[in-house]
Amino acid sequence: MTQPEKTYGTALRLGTDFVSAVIVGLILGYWIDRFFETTPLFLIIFLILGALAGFRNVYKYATKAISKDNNGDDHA
Amino acid sequence: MIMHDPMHQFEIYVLFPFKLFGYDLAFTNASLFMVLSTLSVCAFFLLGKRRLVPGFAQLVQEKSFGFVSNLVKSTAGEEALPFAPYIFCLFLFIFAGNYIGLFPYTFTFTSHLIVTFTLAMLVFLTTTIVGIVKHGTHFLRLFFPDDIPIFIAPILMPIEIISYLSRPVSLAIRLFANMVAGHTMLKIFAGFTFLIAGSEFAPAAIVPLLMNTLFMFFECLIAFLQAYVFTMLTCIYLNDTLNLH
Repeated sequence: MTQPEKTYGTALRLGTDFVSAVIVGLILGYWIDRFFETTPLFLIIFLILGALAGFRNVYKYATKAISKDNNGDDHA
Repeated sequence: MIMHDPMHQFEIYVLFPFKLFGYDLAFTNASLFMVLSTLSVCAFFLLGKRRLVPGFAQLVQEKSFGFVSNLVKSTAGEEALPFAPYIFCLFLFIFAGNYIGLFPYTFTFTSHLIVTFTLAMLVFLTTTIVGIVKHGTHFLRLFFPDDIPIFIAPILMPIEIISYLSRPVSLAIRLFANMVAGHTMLKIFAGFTFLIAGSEFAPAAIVPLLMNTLFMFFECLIAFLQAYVFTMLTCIYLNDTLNLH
């Protein structure tokens, strides 16, 4: 694979990786709230957890990219 | 001049109504283009004769499979190679769908969230089942990285689980959003061209027309890239569940 295609791939990947975790948190929280009738307790908890998971997604990607960089490999 | 609705191209209509056990299984224009893209891929792979020294068609066929199987091998290791044909099929289906959708008067089935989400769920379920079959209960280590102190685990576990569940959503939304955004943009600029051509500044219509030509090149790139990114992430997810840390 040539370099520009990989870089574009990365750019397209990171944005949705963050947003999707927040969406999953939102849906989980909403369902749990509907089940236990505790609106909006779990919605708030899971939104925060979702945002944290989104940061975790990006963080995981970044640490991988940095460690590859230090080993002299090309950017993933 | 009336400007056409740029979202009109994404409308689904029924071609042959069909009901089975109370479920609506109608054959729609989306189904038609799924069948068309599958058939075009099959037709492409039946082209040419099989020879020891490959002709042009055979060369492209072999190279395209080599491209995907190399991607599988380099990101998920030798062990993942049995999944290469499956990933290759996914790649070709999305690739053909994206490119067929670029022709005028066609329909892009990858611009519907439910289609991309189904494809993403296929990947998600496959990788999860593969991980569970291969590692058993040890699979749960995926949600518990070993380099963290035990007291952080209760906080990190739910985060890791949400992060894992977000994978199919991320796959689905990326493909869907890119296709919808690109096609809507093409339609809007085409609408501008006709609006300006109908007004007294008619020569200025060349500007959105040129823009649209540029966008078309860009869309051709995006159509390939999205299929590629989908395939690459499938390999990465397969690697995560096949080779646990």
